[in-house]
Amino acid sequence: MKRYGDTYALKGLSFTVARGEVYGLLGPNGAGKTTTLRAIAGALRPTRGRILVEGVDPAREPLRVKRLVGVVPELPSLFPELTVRDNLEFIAGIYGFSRSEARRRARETAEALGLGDYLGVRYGRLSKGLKRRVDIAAALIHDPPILLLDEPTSGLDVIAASRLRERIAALARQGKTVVLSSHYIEEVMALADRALILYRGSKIVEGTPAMLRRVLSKKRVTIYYTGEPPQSLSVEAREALGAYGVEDLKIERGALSFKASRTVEALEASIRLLRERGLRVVDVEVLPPSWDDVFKAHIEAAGGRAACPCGGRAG
Amino acid sequence: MRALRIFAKDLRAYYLKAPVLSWGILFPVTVMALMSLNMRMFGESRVVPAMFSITLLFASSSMAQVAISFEKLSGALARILYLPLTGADLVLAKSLGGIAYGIGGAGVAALVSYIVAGHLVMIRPLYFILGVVLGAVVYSLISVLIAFYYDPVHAVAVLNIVRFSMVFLGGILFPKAFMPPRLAWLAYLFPSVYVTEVIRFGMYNTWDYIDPYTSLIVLAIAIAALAYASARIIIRILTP
Ligand SMILES: Nc1ncnc2c1ncn2[C@@H]1O[C@H](COP(=O)(O)OP(=O)(O)O)[C@@H](O)[C@H]1O
Ligand SMILES: [Mg+2]
Repeated sequence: MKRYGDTYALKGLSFTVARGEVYGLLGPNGAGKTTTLRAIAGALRPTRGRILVEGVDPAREPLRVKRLVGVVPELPSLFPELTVRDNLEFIAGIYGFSRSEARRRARETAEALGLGDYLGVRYGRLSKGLKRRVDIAAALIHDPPILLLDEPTSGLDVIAASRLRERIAALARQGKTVVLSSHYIEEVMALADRALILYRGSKIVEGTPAMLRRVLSKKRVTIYYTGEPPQSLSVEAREALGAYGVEDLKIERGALSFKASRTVEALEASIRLLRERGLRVVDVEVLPPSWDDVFKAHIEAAGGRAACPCGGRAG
Repeated sequence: MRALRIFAKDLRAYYLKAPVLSWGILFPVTVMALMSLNMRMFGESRVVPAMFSITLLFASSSMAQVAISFEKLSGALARILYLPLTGADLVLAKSLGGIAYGIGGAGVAALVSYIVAGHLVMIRPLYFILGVVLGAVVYSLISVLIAFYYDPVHAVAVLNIVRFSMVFLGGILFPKAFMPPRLAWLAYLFPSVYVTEVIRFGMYNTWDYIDPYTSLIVLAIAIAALAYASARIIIRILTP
């Protein structure tokens, strides 16, 4: 638990990350993602509760934990006045590597992240995407088994973000344990083996992407037909489908669509209805729910108001 | 050593920049110009050590603002928290800039006053050097503590209040005899009075508020206490 004055930044949060796993922390701004990561990294003391990183409590032995984890903070925060090389060598030096070892590590880590050409460029002059990559290099310079990434792609354009995701996936394949926060549901789902949804400092749900996706999820069903629908179709459809958890029912000329949790039954019932009214069903489309829908559903089920997870800066 | 690595990084990132450096040269020159006006009123053995003391104070307490407040704003200080550093590492690292700059500033002031005045009274150079070095350490530590503790905007204000209190109340500018008796005792609460007396003793072989030997002891204790306290609380301040 973490409290700031009267505000609970984290409350009753508990989870375990397995070695080698990619674990996602998903939540809207202010949910407590950064607070969680900082507490794991030993840069913040929980008001109550305990964290263990490879058996070491970061609140008690922050220096030991800091050697086990590499952190990519929410905002680019290396030294803008220094070059990429100087930044990386400085950080390697803090971890206690000799000058020549620091130099070697800086070069190799930078090259591994495709930063070889930028070693002599000042950090402050790099694009956001490149800064992020340097941040990752800095977090990896001491070859930690655990990597904490706080909203790594926020503020990047689509292409830079997807490249960065590939790099993160590659690190996971190399055996790093990765804990990643994001308010983009797609990102966590694309990268994480398991994830939890964090809302107002508490865990809403935890599981594999498929589980998170299935639970409470409603698929969008569209049935295409030909023929002239009777005026009463809308009312009749509402009656026929009410039992199957149908929402957002729309009837247009040529298409009937809704969101449903019991998809198969709702689909059968609506096809039957359309045929009884003399219409010809020509096609059926069932789309998986968007991650935003899943996210909102989880939050609503937990009694919170749905916050749009789809934009804005992180807190 | 970690603190030295941070110092070396700060040197490259901030301290050796022209605007920062020029302050160290402009400042003693300005102070000297002002002081020479006061020379007749209080006498050379009051004014010249005061000039050194002020230069030392301002030079050694300016660096922490640059290296700490700036890094607070840029987020770099939060980034440093993820590195395996102790409070002692951070305090030492961030004090070294001010210490080096304060000693350098006093050196420049000595050079300038020698060139301008044509002579420099220095009866006991060892005490002068001790005063400068201990002064640089104590002022730098105080400024580091302020810069860590207060947010960047308030830190500047607090630092200036502290510095100007030292100049006017802390036994730097005015002789004890000149101060209203009700205010004179205040000087002993500031480290500046001890620094100034050791410097005065080194230069002119006299002292005013307090003897230089006691001053050295007080300064040593103050430095030990400040260093210990800041090393203990810096991590507390930075990890909420
Ligand atoms: N230093 C602080 N002082 C007071 N409140 C804070 C502090 N840091 C974070 N909070 C609050 O804690 C909550 C969680 O914040 P944070 O962990 O940054 O969320 P996220 O990273 O998910 O956007 C927010 O309500 C935020 O306002
Ligand atoms: Mg955050």
